[in-house]
Amino acid sequence: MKEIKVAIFDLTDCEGCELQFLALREELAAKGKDFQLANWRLLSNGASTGPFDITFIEGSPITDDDVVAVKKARAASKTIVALGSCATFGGLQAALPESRRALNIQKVYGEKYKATSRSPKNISYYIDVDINLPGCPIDKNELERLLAAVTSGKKYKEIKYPVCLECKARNNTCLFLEDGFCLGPITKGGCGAICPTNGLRCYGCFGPVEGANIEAMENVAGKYTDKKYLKDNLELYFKNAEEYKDYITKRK
Amino acid sequence: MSHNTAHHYITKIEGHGRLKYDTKEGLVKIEIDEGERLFERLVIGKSYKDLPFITARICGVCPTAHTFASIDAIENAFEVLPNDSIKNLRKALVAAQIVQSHILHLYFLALPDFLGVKSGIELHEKDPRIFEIASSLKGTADKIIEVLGGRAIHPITPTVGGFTKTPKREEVEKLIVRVRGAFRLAQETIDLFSGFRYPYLNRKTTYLALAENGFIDILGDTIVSSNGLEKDISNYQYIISEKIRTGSTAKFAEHNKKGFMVGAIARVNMMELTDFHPKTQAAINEFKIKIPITNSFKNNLAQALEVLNYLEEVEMFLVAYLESRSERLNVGYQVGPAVGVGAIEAPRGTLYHMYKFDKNGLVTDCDIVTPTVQNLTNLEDDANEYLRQNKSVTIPRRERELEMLVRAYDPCITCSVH
Repeated sequence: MKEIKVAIFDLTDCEGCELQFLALREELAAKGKDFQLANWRLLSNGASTGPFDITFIEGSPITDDDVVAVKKARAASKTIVALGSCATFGGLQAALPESRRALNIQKVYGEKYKATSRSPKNISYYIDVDINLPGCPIDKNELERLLAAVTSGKKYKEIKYPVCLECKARNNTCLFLEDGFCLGPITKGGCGAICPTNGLRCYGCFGPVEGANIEAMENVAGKYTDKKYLKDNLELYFKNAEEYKDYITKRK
Repeated sequence: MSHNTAHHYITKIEGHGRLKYDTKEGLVKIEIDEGERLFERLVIGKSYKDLPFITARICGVCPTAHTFASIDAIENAFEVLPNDSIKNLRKALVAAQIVQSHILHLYFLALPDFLGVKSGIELHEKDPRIFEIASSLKGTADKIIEVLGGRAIHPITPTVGGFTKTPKREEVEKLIVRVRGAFRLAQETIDLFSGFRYPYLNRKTTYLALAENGFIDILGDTIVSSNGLEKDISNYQYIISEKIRTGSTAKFAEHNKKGFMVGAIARVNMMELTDFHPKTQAAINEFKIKIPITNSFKNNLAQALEVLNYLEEVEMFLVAYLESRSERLNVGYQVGPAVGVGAIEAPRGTLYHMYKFDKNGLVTDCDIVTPTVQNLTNLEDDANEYLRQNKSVTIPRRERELEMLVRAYDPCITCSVH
């Protein structure tokens, strides 16, 4: 893997996905399977400006500097990976309505404050993205699978089954039946159903699975769960996902 | 880099911050330009049930701290009383969070300054022995949170009233063995960080931390200060005020209109020698560590002490958990209109969450005060005092040491702009 030049950039986010990356890198280094990290701001001074074979971008572009950074990264990289749900969908912070951003900033910072940033977006809003690796945070096994594919020149295959499949494989009690609501059926797998396995229903952090039947989810979960609560939860991670936006447009 | 204009970015701190150093005026200013994420607005109208999950995402470096500050605020609002079994597990997790974050900072972000290595990621080639210690300690801290919390980053199991799942006895027993095995490496960490030459700075300030029954306590209910203040956490807004500055997305906090300090130095300075766990006491004596620490560069040393002290604390609470282990993972409670303040000791200092709820447990107001915001004013004061006390130091070295000072504070910019 040594010849492949990897870069990691972070924009506005919590940096949890980078730390998953760091943890995986240590595990790989311990096994003697290392790769060259050409640029990683969190851990390095005076980093390289490229070119890179594969660039991971974490977070959502919010500041002007963020937007410049993603464009530079695109120009300097063969492959761009959106690392985590902030990069893929804009993240939790994108769940706030754009139209109320100015008001919300005033509420937090006061009336005199001049905001420096724009509404959070997915990075594909600004540049072409080759691979999306969602998750809040990303899953280490899935990242390892992706690294193994791209470093051996193979195509990384995105997961096309829901969390439920992985949940069933782990013999978990169905939390949809227990709590009256769980986003597992419409959420993309790849997490190993880690939350339901630990007793917490799925929050949909990997975004919608291909062909997600959001209408059926609303109909069934709506029988047991408050409608506003359901909508709030769907929009926490799904709000900027194409499948969800299409669903909302069609419903209108 | 020109030394007259004074803009440069600081790397190797979590998030995006800038130190502006004007050599003409000789004044240092901190500017934070991480984009506003507005978590305090994001939670409005949300159910109390989802707050620990959402607010953990403020920070990937200390998500366990946010999870428990959030749970504490909700439980104080609804008067939830967790049993001893739940409390022991929580204390082990909060202590492990301090160890996890300190290790990341000490070995991957601060150490390159002292070893002359370009970056933390080069460590395993340049100094394999130190990389091994770093990797093993980080692995242990990650493992504790993974076993108790379900995942090393953004824990899953902690919930209002208790846990969604608790570990099996054998898992906890194995974990205790691993924690005991890490003590030696934590002692080596203190040895390493007590041996470095730190830049000169000597300035006393006011220290704040949480305590319970007169002792510093990571889940304490009382705010104490080095000036004798002792107030219930529900009064935090009267004790700490946040100032808004143009050009900074992070606020700057003050106590009695002055800067103050929270975090490793604050906690260590407010403890008597006998308040530390036995192995940490022995290390303080063996390596002749002088407390109180009045040089903020030595926050790294205070963090190294805490790595051992909080590993001992994890062991203590895990043993207590096995003794108190109850079948009940959760206690019941009633939701209603209420206000709740929660506070815990996060790695970088006291973290406050405050929520107001309506009758259905939906949030109507929220305030979050992070440790980094509390330290920013003090950091600036320290930087300016450093310049006054080091007039004979060359300008390039001064700039390098000012960067080291910022790094020593371990500021979490991500947290500070939440």
